[in-house]
Amino acid sequence: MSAAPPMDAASIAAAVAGRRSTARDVVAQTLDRIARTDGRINAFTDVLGARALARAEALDAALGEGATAGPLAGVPFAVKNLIDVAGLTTRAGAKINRGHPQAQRDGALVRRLEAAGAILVGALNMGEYAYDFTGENIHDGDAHNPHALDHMTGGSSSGSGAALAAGMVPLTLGSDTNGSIRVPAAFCGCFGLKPTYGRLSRAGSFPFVGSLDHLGPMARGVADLTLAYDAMQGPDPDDPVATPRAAEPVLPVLESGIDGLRIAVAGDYFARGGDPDAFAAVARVAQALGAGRTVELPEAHRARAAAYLITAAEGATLHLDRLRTRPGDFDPAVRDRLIAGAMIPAPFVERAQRFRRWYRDAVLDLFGGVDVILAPATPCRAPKGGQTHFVLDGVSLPVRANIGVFTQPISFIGLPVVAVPVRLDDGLPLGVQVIAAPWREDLALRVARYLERAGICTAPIAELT
Amino acid sequence: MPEPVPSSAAVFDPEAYIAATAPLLGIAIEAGWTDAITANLRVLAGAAALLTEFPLPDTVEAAPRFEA
Repeated sequence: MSAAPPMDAASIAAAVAGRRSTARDVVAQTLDRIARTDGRINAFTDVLGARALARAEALDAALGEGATAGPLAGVPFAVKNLIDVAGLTTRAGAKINRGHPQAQRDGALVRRLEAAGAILVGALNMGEYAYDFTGENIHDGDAHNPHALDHMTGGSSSGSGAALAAGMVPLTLGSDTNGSIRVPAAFCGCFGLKPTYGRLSRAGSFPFVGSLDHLGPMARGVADLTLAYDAMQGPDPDDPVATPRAAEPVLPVLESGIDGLRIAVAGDYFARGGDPDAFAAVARVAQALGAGRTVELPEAHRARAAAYLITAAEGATLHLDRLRTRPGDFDPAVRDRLIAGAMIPAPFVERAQRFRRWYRDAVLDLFGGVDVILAPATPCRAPKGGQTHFVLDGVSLPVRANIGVFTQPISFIGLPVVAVPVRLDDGLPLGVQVIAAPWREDLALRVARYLERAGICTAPIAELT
Repeated sequence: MPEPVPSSAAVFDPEAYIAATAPLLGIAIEAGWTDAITANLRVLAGAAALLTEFPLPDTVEAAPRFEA
């Protein structure tokens, strides 16, 4: 085996394409790192060694015969275990799903990444049925934050954040219904892209709240995030909400900088109800971008309330048969919220969906005068594992229900967001949401890349102790 | 824009509501679950109140849209 490969996806792809490294070596070293590391992290629920090595060898053989290398040639990646992987049961973090048949086919995004040369190495831990912000899972065990093993990873894409922060893979996929990419990105100190609702296909993934579900990439660098995002774009008739828009690649404009962009900080609701550190992280990013303006997303507290109601009601509807027949096999914290959700009177849910239209129109008006909005990703750094309450603005609140206070009003109307990591000190990282208008992922990624180049947002691999 | 309709002064009783709706939904609630479900219902009722007290024009349609 040759020397250890570079750790970021873009460098791996360049090395494999240039035949300076083989995909087999990259994958073998990745599998070795997972084997040596994951016992302390618990990010993986399945490691696909044989499949990954076979694909790597096939890629090396094809390149040896003159095939053109894809943009992600030889890049190892792993996916949240609600995304189908042929031959695995799609467990979605749930005990109940373990009785389901194995998936016959990889999910759409897995197929698209592999078509670009990437190599799937495993499936990742997650909160049960994605109804989670903590990263805790009573069935598969909690994922541990690589930056402090006794702290939460955030969820529900817990393994997706933890596997990156521990340096086990350079690229993961997560899902985000109310913040489940952005929260673990913040707590684990990496980058995450929640694209516009409908931008990336969700075909071949286990749903949670159809009208709010998104899939997206997570990585330790913006170029890697963009490479993966570009490889996954494009219409998909298998997802009823996938956009018919053609792919709009961002990589060609990623280094365009921020000249001419109107960038503002979200005020009011997004400037209170959190630890001072959460707002200090936003201020650091805003200063680096020269963003002195503040804008107000109107009625954001009601937007969060509406997202909360729709989530509970739609989630309960999805799981009603399981609540009837196997209530004892749920995580109790998930079951009790779903049962309450099943009992919400229909007019409240419809009201929430009507409010959603009003809020969407109001926020789109806001984007007439601003291109990018900054907001905290979470109200605090990662809480301790098992912690049930935290104090925000002097008020004791349940952790599970309140980690997503700043993410919910954004995903509620499907806006694209890049969560960028910020390190204020030697403590745990924080995250900032870089938010753009629908279909303008390019702007959020450009700003994130500018911040990365300026050294404001970095995602170093954790030194495990 | 229509004025918000004042809600009834009657007090919401989550325990009674759970007992009444669980059979309708076909969900068997064990005794030990009621407190947590009640707490969740209270949070959801608070969220619903934030929305029902906000006046919306009758012409505002629900956001999810089916395109044939």
